[in-house]
Amino acid sequence: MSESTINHLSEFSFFTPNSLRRKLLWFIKLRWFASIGAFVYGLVLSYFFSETAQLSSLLICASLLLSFNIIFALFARLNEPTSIEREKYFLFVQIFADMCLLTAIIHFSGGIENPLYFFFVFYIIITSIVTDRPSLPFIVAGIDCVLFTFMTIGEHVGWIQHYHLALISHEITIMIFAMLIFYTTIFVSAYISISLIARHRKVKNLILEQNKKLEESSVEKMKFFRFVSHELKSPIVAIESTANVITDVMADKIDNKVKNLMERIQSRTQQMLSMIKDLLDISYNQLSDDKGELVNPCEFLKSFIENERPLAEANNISLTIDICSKKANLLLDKFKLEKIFSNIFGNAIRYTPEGGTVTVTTDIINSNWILNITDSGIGIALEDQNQIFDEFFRAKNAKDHVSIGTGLGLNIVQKFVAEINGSIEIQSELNQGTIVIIKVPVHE
Amino acid sequence: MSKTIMIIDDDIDLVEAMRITLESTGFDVIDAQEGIKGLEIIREKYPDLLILDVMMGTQDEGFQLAYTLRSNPDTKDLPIIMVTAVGTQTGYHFDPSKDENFLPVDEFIEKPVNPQKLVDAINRNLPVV
Repeated sequence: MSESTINHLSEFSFFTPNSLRRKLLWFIKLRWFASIGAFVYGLVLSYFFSETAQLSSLLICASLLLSFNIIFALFARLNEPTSIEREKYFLFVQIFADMCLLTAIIHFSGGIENPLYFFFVFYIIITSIVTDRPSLPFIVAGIDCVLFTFMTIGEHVGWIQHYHLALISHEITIMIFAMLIFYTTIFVSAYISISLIARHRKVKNLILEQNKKLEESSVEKMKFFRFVSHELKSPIVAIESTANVITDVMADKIDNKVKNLMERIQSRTQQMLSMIKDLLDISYNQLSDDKGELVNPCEFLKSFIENERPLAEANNISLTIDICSKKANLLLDKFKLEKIFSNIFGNAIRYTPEGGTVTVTTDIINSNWILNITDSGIGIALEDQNQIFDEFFRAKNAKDHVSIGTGLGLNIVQKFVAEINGSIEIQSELNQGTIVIIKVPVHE
Repeated sequence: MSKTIMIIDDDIDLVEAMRITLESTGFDVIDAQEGIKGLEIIREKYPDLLILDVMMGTQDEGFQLAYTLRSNPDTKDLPIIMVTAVGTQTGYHFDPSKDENFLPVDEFIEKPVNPQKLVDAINRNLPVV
């Protein structure tokens, strides 16, 4: 990600002092309008309800609001945003001052008779926009309630004087006034919400854009990874082919020491080749967009096992195959199926000592196609069982039994099984054998 | 008279490994590092069998060359063994028994080359005189 986009994103972050300050400046801007509104409110009220209006008190409230805002604006100009906590206190002081003044304005213009109390809602909306802490809007709501209750009860029991909004004779004017307050409330709420949503939409688009770029760069990386793996393979292939010629074709020209060293070379090149092969499998899978060729797993397994039978026979392992007695209506990605099966079946053969058994069965239970591969091999120690799917992990007894291995096989299997919507389960006991069960849902 | 095997592969070390294997088995070996040159030599010397790398300069230079040979009456019967590491690159294993119409070669051998398998494949595919 480039530096400019990082800056771009942080501009919209909710968690920096700067972003909080930007919202506070927006809040201060709103308050200039609110101050003008408060003066106009006092004058309008005294014009229509001249008998009851407390013009001087209302104008004092409006002046206080204006004065506070001047102080807040100066404070904001003179103090750089340094910490989130400080900005939050700054916000809270402003909101508290606003709410006290709103309560005073309501008190001087009719108390509970005046629908202006709807305006308390604005502070809750603003608080929830400006802060990232969910408790703060509730705290503001609580303070709203305390102030409003104090004013209402206080006026009722006579702690403070109750001023009527208007005389009953002004019924129509009161109605129009209430409607105006109502309209103002809903339109201001709409404006505040829209400002918020617009901001969020901007952030969302930016994130989507970034996400797309990240995906593209991830594909590029994977292509590079694939290219590198491929380039690594060519020299290894040449080394192993050459080593094969020395040990096979020129066997009579080399003594046993050289032969032993050549075999070590072959063993290590084979190890590296199988690692590269696994890496290429991973990159191929991640880069391929298409679903791949779909095959019936039964037909595929039959031919696969027949091809591998000589390997089992060479190791004197008896194969028991009982597959496909039930017809499964199932097609699976050929590439993935092959990788899954060749890894699991290959492990069963590789890690089963001579004279052992490997059993492959399939069944359909509860709309799941179940592949079961059981061997009488070296098994997996209990302490290793939760690591066997980890990349590059190989259990000690596995290394002792077969020195070559990448530790990537089961990791790939686990990924591919998940990608064909299946699940894999391994049950094993050291020196007793291993059961691998793969379940794939059958689509009726 | 010993049979002549042509090897076309851009990896000179692989060519060398195969050359030693084949010469020690009694074949004559000629080689080329790229397709066009290889084609010239084939038309000049008429080898008995061709060992061809699937990917040389481009992704499918080997296949292109095989098609060219198959479409020419003079070379259409030349047995071709394709040496490939494609199986380990794409996970796709070529199966000539299924794809014979599609793939214009007689047999595939996977890299790294196993000398015995190479010699066996050559003996299987050499025309019986």
